[in-house]
Amino acid sequence: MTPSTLAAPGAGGRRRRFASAAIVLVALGLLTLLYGALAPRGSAASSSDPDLDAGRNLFVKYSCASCHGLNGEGGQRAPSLIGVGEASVDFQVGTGRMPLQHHGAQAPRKQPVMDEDQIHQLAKYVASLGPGGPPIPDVTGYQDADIAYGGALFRTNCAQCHNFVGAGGELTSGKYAPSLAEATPTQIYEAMVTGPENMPVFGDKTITPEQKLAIVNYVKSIRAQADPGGAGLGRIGPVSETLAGILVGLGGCVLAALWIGTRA
Amino acid sequence: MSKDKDDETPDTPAEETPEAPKTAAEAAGSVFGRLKHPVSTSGAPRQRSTSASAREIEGEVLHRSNMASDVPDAVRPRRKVGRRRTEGTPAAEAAAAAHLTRPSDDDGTHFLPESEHGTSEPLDPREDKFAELTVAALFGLATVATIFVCVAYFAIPEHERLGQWMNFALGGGLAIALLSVGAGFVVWAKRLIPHDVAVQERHHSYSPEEEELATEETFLKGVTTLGLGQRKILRRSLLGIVALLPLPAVIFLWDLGPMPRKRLRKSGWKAGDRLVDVETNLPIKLGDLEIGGIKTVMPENFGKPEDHALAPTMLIRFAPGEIRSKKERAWSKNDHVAYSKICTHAGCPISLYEQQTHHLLCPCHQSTFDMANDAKVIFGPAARNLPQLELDLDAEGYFIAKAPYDQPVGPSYWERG
Amino acid sequence: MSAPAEAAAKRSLRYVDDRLGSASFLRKSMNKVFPDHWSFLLGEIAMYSLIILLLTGVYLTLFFHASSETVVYHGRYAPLRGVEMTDAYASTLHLSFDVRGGLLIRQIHHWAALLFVLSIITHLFRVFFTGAFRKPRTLNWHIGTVLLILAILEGFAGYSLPDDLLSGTGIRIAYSVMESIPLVGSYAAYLVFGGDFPGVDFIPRLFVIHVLLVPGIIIALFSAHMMMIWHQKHTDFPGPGKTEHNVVGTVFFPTFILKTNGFLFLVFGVLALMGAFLQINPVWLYGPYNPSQVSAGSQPDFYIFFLEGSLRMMPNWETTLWGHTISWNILIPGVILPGIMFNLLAMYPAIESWATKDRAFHNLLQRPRDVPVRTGLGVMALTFYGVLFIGGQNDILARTFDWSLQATTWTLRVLLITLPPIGFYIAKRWCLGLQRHDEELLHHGIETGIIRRLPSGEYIEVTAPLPPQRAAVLAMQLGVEVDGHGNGHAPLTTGNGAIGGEPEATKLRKPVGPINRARDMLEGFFFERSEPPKANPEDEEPKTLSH
Repeated sequence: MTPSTLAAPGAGGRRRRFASAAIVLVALGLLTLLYGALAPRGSAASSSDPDLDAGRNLFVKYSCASCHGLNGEGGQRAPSLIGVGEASVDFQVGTGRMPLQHHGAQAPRKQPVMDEDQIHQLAKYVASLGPGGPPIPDVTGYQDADIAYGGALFRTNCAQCHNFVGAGGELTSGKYAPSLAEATPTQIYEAMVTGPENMPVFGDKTITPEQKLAIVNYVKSIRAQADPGGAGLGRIGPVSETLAGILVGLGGCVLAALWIGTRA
Repeated sequence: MSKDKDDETPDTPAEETPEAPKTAAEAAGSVFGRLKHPVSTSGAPRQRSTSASAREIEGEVLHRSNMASDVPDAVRPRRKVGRRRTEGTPAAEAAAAAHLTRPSDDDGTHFLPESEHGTSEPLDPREDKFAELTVAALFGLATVATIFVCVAYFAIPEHERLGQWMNFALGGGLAIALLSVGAGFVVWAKRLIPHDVAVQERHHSYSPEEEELATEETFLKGVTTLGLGQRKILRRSLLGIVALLPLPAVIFLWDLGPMPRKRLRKSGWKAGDRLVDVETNLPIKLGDLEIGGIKTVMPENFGKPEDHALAPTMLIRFAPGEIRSKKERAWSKNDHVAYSKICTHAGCPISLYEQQTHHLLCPCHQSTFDMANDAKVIFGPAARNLPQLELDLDAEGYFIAKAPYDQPVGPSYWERG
Repeated sequence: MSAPAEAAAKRSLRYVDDRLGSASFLRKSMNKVFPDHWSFLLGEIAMYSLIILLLTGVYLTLFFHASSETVVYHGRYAPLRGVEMTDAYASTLHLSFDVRGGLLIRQIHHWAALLFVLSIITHLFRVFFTGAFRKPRTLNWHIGTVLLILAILEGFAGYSLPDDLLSGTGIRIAYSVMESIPLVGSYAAYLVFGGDFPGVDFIPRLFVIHVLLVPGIIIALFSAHMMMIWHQKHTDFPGPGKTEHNVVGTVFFPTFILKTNGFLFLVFGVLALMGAFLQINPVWLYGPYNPSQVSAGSQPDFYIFFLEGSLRMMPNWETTLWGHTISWNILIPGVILPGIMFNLLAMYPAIESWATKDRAFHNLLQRPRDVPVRTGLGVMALTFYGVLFIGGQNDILARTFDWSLQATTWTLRVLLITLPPIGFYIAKRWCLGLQRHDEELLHHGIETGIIRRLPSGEYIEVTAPLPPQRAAVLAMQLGVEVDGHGNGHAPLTTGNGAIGGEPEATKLRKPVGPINRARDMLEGFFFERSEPPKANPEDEEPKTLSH
C-alpha cells in the first residue's frame, strides 16, 4: 500500500504513532520513579561505607557465596552467616580456616588468604547481613589478668578437649580440638565467645569477659613458660616420655652393655 | 713369702730383677703372689733369686713400662697380660703355664692358657700407658664435674626460668661425673687388666643321693615323732586353730573404712538444690548459657568437689527442637538439660562436648554419649546412659534440681541393681 | 702393692675370718666365674635402677608430705598461687621449685622407675627366648614374675602420690575397677579408700605401701633372686669349650666386679642425663586433682598402657540380674585379662616342660631359632601385649597421625584377634628358615665368594668348612649329630645337649588317656619341624652352583 492510499487517515496515523511512543516513554519514566521510591533498600545497596563495599567485594572474590549463599543465608554445604557477628569472621578467616579448602571432619588452621584490614572489612560486611553476634573483642590488658584463676577456669572448661596446657586433643570421628600454640590472644577469646564448629559456645554470661581474659593470659603464659626439667617432650604426658625412656634410657644402657660385654 | 730373702745376688732397681717362685704351688698361692712374682722381661736367661724386697718389686713394676721393643719373637710371652710385656725362660714359662692351668679351687676354677682363647698380638707399651692415661683423664673429668656440681648448687641463680639452669647444671654435671667414672672403670677393665678367661666346674644343683635320703629320713622321723600321724585329736584341734588364727588379722582391717551400704547411691543432690558454677559458686540464671553452651555445675553449698565426687553435672543448652527423646524433653527446662558428668564406665568426668553433633566424649576410654537422645551410649565401653537430673526454675529464674538423680551415679557395682 | 698396704689388707682379712670363718667363702666368691655376654647385663640394668630408685626415693621422702589436707599454695610457681590443693601436691611443687636439686632427683627417680620396668621386661625376653627359665631355674622365673608385678604396682603408686590431675584420673579408674568386682567390690573400694572417692585416707596409705611395704618385698625377693643366681651359677650360650658342666668367663674379682661397677655408674649416668635434660611428669602443668576435671590425652605410665588399651577396646558388656550388676566391660579388661596374662607368664616353664616332657637340667642356653615354637609363642604373646599397648595411646596416635578415633578402636580390636597368630606363624617360619641356613652352613661350609671354573667348564663356588669347634657347637644346637664326614643324622635327643633327660628309647608304653594324648600332641607340636632333618643334605638337589 502506498502512503497515498492511506492519505485520508495519513496525518492522523503519524500523530497516533507519536502519541503511543510518548505514552510508553511517560509510563516508563513514571515506573522508574515509582520503583526508585518504593523499592526496598537492600543492605547490599548502600554505598556510603567503603569498608562494607570492600567487604562485599571480598565476600564475592573469595567465593564465600558459593557455599554460604549470596546473602549469607547458608544452605546444604555451609551454615547461615546471619547474626554470626564480626568475631566469628575474624576468627575463621584470621586463622585461615575459611575459605574452606575441602570438606573433611573439620576445618584445619592454615595460612590466611587476606590481611588483617581486609578481614575486618569482611567481618563488617558479614555482620551487616543480620544483627546479633559478638563483636571483635578487645583483649588489651590480658597480661594483668589473674593467671592462677585463669588456670583453674582452663582446667574446668577447656582442658578436657585441649589438654592441660592447650596442646590439643582428639574428638570423635576425626574431629579434634586443635593445639593453642599458634592462636593469638584475640583468637582465643573469639573462639570461646563464638564456639566455632563443634566447640561449645562460652558466651559472656557463661564465662565473663574478665574470666576470658584470665584464661587467655593463662594459655599464653603457659606456652611461653620454660620447662625447668629440660625438654618438654610436647607436654602431652607419658606417651612421649615412654618413647624417650626407651630410646635414650634403655637404648643408652643397652649400648653400654654392648660395650662392656662380649658379643659372641 | 716376701720375707724369704736370698742375699746371694742382691738385686738393684736398675737391673730388672726377675723373680721366680720356688714351686708352682707357691706361685699358685694367691693373686698377690702372681703379681709379686711376675716373669721378667730382659731377654736373656738370668740368675734367679728367690725373692726381692718390696721396694725392688715396686721398682720392677715401675720399670715394667720401659720395655724394649727389640725383644725377639722367640721369647715373646704367650700369656697376654693386658698390655704389659712379660718374658721368661722356658722354665719360668712352664711354671706360669702350669700355674695358669692348674685348678685353684675345689670347683676347678682355673685360667685357660692363652692358646685356647684369643690370639696373641704384638704388645705396645705405649698403648698401655695411653690406656692408663685415658682412665686417669676420665676420673679427672669426673672430679672436675663433681666439683662443678658442688659449686653450681650455690652459684647458679636457682629461680632462673623456674630453675631450669639449676637443673641443667646439677644434672649435667652429675651425668658427666657418673658417666666418666663408669667409662673409666670399663676402660680399666678392658685395657689394663689381663684378658684371662677362666673356667669353673658346675656342681649339680642337687645333692648326692645319700644326702637327700638322709634328709628325707630325718624329716619323716621328725614328723613321726611329732605324732601328727597317729594322734587324731591333736591333729584336728591343731587344724582348727591354724585355720582360724589369721581371722583376727582380717577382721582388724574392718574399720579401714565405713561400710558402703546405700552411700554409693547418693550423689549429693537434693530436691530444690540450685545449680551453681563449680568454679565461682554462683547460681545459673536462665539466659546465662548460649545455645550450644555447656557448664559444669554442682549443688549449692557443695563445699569442695572432692567432698562430692559424684555430684559434678553438665548443664547443656540446645536449640529449640534439637532434643529428640521425649523423656529428656520432659526433664529439660527451656531447652536446657542436665546430665551427670561422671562416666558410667570408670568414673572419669566427661565433658568433651561436640556442639554440632551433640556427642559427649569421655577422654579416658572414649565412651561416646548422644546428649540429644537420653545420653545413650553410641560408642565405647560404657554400658549405661548417663543419669539425667530433672531441671526446674525457681522463683528468681535460677536453675534448680527438681529431684535428686533417680539412679546411682557413676560406674556400676554389684549391688547397684 | 706396697708392703704396709698389703699388710693392712691381710690383717683385715684375718680380722673378718677370725670372727666369721669367711676365708673359703671369700676366696670362692672372688674366683667365681661369670660368663660375659652382653645380654646377661640386662638384668643388671634393673638391679642398678632399683638401687638408684632406693637412693633417690629416700631423698624424696624427706620432703614429701603424704597428706590429703587442703592447703592454699603460696609458693613460687605463679600459675598456681592461691589455688587450693592437697598438701601432697603442694609439697611436690615445693620440692620441684624451692629445693635446689629437688626437681632433678624427682626426675631421676621417675626415669629410673621407667627404666626399671623396661629393663625387667627386656631381661624377661632374654630369659624367655634363650630358655634360661628351664630347670633348675624355674623358681627364679617365678620370683621374677612377682618382681615384675610388684614393680608395676610400685610405679603406679609412686606417680599417684603427688595427687595431680593426671594421676588422680588413674586412681579414679582404679577405684572403679575395684568397685566392679562382684560381691566384694564396693566393700573393697570403701576399705581401701576409707570411704567415698577420693577421701582423705588414700594418699597416706599409698605412701606407706610405696615407701615401706612393696619395696621391702621387692628387696627380699630380689635378694633371693640374686642368691639363686650366685648359687646356681649363670647360664651361658654354647660355644667352644663350654659344656653343661662348666662355666667359662671372667672371675668375679677383679675383672667382673670392675666391669659391673662401671656399669652401675654408666646406668646412673644415663639416668642423671635424662633427669637433667628430659622433663618428666611436670605435675605443675597438670594442676591439682579435682574430681570434676580431666584432660584430653590422659594416659597412665607405660607399664599400665596395656590395661588402659584393654579398657578402651572392650565392648560395652554389662549384665544386670535380680538387682545386681556385673560390669564385664571393666572386669574383663581390668581384672580377668591381666590375671590370665600374668598367670600364663608364671606357669609357662611348667607348661613347656610338661608339654615337652623335658625334666633335664639345662645350663646352656638356646638360640631362639633352635626352638621355633617357643619363639613363636613368645612373639605371639608379645604381639598381643603390643596391640593392647598401642591401644592405651590410641587418642594420642589418632591426633598425631590424623586418624579417626573410632577407626583406631575398631582396627585394634580386629588386630588383637588376628595379629598374634600371624606373628606366631611368621616367627616360627623365620626360625625354621634360619635353622635351614645353619644346616647348609654346617654341611656345605662358609661361602668364600671364590668362584672356580673347572676344566670341564663347570663353575663351582669354593666353600670353606667351619672351624671344628664351631661346627660341633652348631651341630649340638641344631640337634644333629655329625659323623667324621660331616654328614648329619637325625637326633637321638631333644637336641639341646640336655643332661639327665629321659632318653626316648626307654619310653616303651603307648600313652593312654586324654591328658597323655594331649600331651603327646603338644610335644609333637612343640618339636614340629617343617620336614625332618636331612640325613644327608647332599641328597638334596643343589640350589646353587655349589658342589
